[in-house]
Amino acid sequence: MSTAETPTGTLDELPESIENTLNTLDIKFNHIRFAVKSDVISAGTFGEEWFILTDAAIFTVTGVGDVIHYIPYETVFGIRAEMVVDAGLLVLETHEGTVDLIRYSNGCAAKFGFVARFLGDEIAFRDGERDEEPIWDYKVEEHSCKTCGLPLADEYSPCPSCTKKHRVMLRILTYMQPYKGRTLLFILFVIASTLISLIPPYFIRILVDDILLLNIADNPTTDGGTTWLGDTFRSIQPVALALSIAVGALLTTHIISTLLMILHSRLTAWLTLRIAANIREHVYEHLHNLSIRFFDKRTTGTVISHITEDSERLQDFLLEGLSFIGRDVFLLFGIGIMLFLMNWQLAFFVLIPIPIIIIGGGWFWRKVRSLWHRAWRRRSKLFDVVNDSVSGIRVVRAFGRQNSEVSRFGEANIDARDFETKAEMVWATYYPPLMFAVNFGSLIVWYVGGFNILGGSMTFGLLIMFNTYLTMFYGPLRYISPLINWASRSMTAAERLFEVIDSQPEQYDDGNLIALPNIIGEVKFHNMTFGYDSHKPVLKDINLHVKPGEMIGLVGHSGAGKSTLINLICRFYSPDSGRLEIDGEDIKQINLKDLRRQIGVVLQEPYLFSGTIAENIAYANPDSSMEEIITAAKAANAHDFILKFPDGYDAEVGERGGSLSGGERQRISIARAILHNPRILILDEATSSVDVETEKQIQQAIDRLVKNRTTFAIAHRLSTLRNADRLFVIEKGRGVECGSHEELMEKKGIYYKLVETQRDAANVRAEAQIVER
Amino acid sequence: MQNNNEQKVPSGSLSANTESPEQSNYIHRYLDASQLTFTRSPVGTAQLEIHNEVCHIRVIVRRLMPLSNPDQYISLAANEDTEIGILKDPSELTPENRKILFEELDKRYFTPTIKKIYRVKEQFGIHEWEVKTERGRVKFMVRGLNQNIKQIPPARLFVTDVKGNRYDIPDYRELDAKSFHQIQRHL
Repeated sequence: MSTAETPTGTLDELPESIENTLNTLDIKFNHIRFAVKSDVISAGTFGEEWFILTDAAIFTVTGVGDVIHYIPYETVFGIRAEMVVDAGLLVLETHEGTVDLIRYSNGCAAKFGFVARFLGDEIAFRDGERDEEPIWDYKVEEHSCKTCGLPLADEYSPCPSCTKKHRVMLRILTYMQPYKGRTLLFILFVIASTLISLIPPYFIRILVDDILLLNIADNPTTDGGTTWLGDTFRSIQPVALALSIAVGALLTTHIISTLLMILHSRLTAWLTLRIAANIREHVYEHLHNLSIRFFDKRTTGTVISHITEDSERLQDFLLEGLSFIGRDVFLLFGIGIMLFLMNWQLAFFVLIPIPIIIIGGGWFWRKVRSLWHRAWRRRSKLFDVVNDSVSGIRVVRAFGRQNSEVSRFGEANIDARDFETKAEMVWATYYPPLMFAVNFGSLIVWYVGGFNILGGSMTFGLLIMFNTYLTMFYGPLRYISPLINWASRSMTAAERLFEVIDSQPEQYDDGNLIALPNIIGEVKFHNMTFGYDSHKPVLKDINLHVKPGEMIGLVGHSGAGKSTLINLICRFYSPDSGRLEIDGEDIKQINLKDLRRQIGVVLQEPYLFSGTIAENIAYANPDSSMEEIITAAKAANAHDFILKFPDGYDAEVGERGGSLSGGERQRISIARAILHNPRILILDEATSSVDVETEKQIQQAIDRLVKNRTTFAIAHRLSTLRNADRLFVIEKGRGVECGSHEELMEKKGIYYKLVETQRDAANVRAEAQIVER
Repeated sequence: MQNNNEQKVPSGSLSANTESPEQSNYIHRYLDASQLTFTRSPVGTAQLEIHNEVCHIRVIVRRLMPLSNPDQYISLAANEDTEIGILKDPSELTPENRKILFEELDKRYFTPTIKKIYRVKEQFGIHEWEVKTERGRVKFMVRGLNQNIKQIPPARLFVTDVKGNRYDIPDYRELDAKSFHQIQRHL
């Protein structure tokens, strides 16, 4: 038996010691094709066990090379990877019976899944059930950072370790580029308002030392003024004038700083809101170009929160946090320098409480934050309980369960109460000591400064000035820890936004790909296999050749893979192996814009956008003339009911078409598809949610629509597929039957059974209706 | 459900009711432990013989209540879709039979139970756990704890790591103080 040349490097590298042990066995083989390592041993504990395929047999061996299973390859006729709870199991069907070969954790599921798929195909080929040798196309799906190995959410995510926070900040700043002038102005305002706020204490000092104290009593220590400005003030006579000038100067600085504050805040708002809006727009625009896979990995909620919450969080931070931090950091340095310049000995004493404030503060905020978070979670749980029982209030009443609902709420309520109490208690206990540490600094200053005054080396005004600066100095320190937290959380939000921007978009209009401006409509599946996770194939070895203009009904149980097949035709996904061809070209090579322009879909739950009926019909072709819209509506049997609306074609559809009935929405979406005039048409359960009369109308519309187009139709009610040229029956991901209704009925296979079941059900329904009457 | 006290519906009456496949789904069968024999094939596959009736060559065992009552109410099936019956209490089996049954259950329910948490270290939103489980000591990584720790009231936790493996803490209140300390702030 000849087997495909298998590259070994892509799976696991078998240690030499095990290979050597295998070579000493009585069982002879030429070479090892590949080996896969499992992280669970047969006893069920974590460990190392190997699956080894040689040219002639399958082995499983322990981490030290002891053989557990030896199975000649030719006796194997089936292989599958079975999912068990939180783990997997590779199962062989052999002539000796079924063998549970090797266990593995979910971490190894992808590689064993691949091995099962590949060997399954190979065995099928060997046994003549498949006409093509499988291709070794193992892809490592583990998403970890290429530089540091940190696991990532998916292939689109940036590495949180390698994207440095300051990089993110820099990137935000690049959004300021269009507003260079104002940014500069912003920085100037920050500097100016800081400098201005440094001035008042200085005037207070002059007021105290050179005007008040000097004129109250003889002051032996103050020979000569404290500063040159002090000298000037001393010389001003009478004192009342000097006092007025000093207070006037104070007033002026306050007025200036107020004006600066107004300008600064206005500018901040102007600037940051623009940055946030630009980032938001950028993200949203990018979102629409991303592959559908991106949306698979995330719930709608996550995606929405990307553009709303994350950008809001970023905006809040930019708006308040950034200028807060900018000013505070600047103030901290400015005052620090001032303090040292005024009296460096005293300034050293000021530093004493700083480590306590920063370390203690950091500890305190961490503790409080975690408690608050836990309290918040309990509170949201409480709301869940309320939401749950109020939404189900009819059920609660019907079963008389009011009391148990009340007590369920009571438990959650008490839980929330206790946790919030705890959080508040911790706050109440630890915040005052933190404030004490902050105030402690000024106590030191009073004590040491007091001695300095008594010793004559310092003036009273200087001490007051010092203390005023000190309050300004400790203020920002107190909040430095929560500020850092805030900054870091906002940067994470920004990162998530950039994650969307950085994700690889679909190449919607790539000039290098084959242009197909006029699709004829031939669709061909060739040994196509696909799974949303590639180790869990949803469709296996699909072979189907659809001629242009043919209508194919896709039949099968729910979950068989019908919708997946359609997703592949729309090229929301690409096949894992095998080919899907349209007009003889590999779908991966076709220009997406051309492809999507010529595919039309009518879904079970037609999605209408808010807007008028005419706008919705012309959604794909906004330039259509009114005549075209009316023609489409007529063909879709929609014209008559549209006329009944007071606003006719101008009637607002409302959110998701809420004001229309299911059948009406369906006919509008058919009109949309007719106007779009696609070459390939997809009908996904288009008639399942309407009554019989409406169904007749829709069916008529569909019959007009499918003419001359290649059509794929999924219908649960098989009777609606009576116009299909051929039916393709999918069972557990495989195409099992294909042919016309008559052919398949004659075959008495799966389709026959399905039809019979539905006929029984229909009979039961009919009988029930008779009984009701 | 009052007439389910009967341990076993005689197989005869079962087959009498199986004209339509849908109908038979409504009738479930409680198996009599004394009638069951579990064996292993030469290649290690679990087989089930129901006395005087039938032998299933690869029996699939599943728990009806894997979380709240893992050791009782075991469903035995011939394949994923065909249930043979329900075994209410495996403790009525002989020790040899019980051994095979529990080995098969262990194979199907992997979820390791965390016995002790050595440490949880955070770096860039990824938490590295080092724990002791009944399946051995293991290290794994969990992204953004909140989404990946699921609490089932009152005190059960499921932790899902980046590879999709799930770890079970049946009752976090019963962990030792040090282990509890490692996770308490995430509860």
